[in-house]
Amino acid sequence: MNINKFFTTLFGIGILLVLLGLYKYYNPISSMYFPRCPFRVLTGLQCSGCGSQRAIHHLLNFELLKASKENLLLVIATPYLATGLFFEYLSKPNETYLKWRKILFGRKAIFIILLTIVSFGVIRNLF
Amino acid sequence: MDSENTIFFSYSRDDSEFVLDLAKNLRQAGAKIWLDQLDIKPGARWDSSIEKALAKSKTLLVVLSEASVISHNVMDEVSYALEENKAVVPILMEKCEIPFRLRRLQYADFSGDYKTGVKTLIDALNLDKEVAKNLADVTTDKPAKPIKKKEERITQPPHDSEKPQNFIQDKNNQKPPKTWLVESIIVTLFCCLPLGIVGIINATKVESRFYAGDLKEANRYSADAKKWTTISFWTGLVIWVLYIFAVASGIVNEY
Repeated sequence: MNINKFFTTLFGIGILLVLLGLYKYYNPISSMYFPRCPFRVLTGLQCSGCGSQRAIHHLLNFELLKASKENLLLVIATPYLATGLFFEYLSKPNETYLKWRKILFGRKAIFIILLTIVSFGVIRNLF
Repeated sequence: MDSENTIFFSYSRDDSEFVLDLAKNLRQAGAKIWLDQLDIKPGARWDSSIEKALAKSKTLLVVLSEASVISHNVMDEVSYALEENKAVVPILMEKCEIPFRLRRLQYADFSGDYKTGVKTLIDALNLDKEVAKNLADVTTDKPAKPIKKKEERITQPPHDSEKPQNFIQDKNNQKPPKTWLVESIIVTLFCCLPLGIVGIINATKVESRFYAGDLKEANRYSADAKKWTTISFWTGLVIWVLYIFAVASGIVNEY
């Protein structure tokens, strides 16, 4: 394996772990180290990603309900994204793989995702 | 696999683009072909797979170009095919020095336009009437174009781009190019960035091009998706860092 790539990966995993630790032990809402979403500060509107920091904090503490209240989309997306990463990096292509990949991550699926992200952003500002 | 009439492709890797297109057209027309890049299963031994396929084929199609005429592998395959009395059909992809052993053979000329090439190929290969007709159909609706510019010809849309009529995927279980979908979604969700959406849109294009059988275009969109995801990631990061500084130094009051 390429040495450079190895260290980049290691470095990435390190940063990820540190971030996960921070988000687990500090609640973004009561700590000053986690700034509010700039989009929110500028426009006063909630984007589709607003609340992800708080949602992650709750998710890491296994409080699904609280997390869902902060950002439902993120909670729904997490298992999907994990599956996606698994498909992309860890599994080997065979027929079953391709079938499921097409259902879950094919063109139609992507369109649904797009629609979901955009409409989630719109709807959460309406209600 | 009954390979009675299989056509074996001998070519230089430098000409992959041309060869894959031609292979695709031939397969769509119903001809049986064997191409290392498409037909060797992942994990199979490359050299022995080639040997086996070559031994089983009846016809060897050799793509002549400046790169292939000096390739030892290509010439080894040609010699073997000639010794074994297999039909050898040269394809002239570009003007080049035709090797001595192949001079007397009737060749298909693709150095001019593609249409003429296909026509001469049908004759040279002695294809079934039906296959020949299909092949002509596959290639004639499109305007004759010099080889260098054949993307448009291949992009010619299938009736329903969703349907996997693609031979590559079916025959070979090939994995589509990376769509960067997951990465794009993550960037969109965490950086609040509309730029991530561009990445997601490119992901749909990778998918539809791949399943339409157009690997080259799919790869191009994959690179595009990667580019946009990377751009939005770094933009997002820079915005966040600047923003954090602004908050920390009291320039912006976040509440």
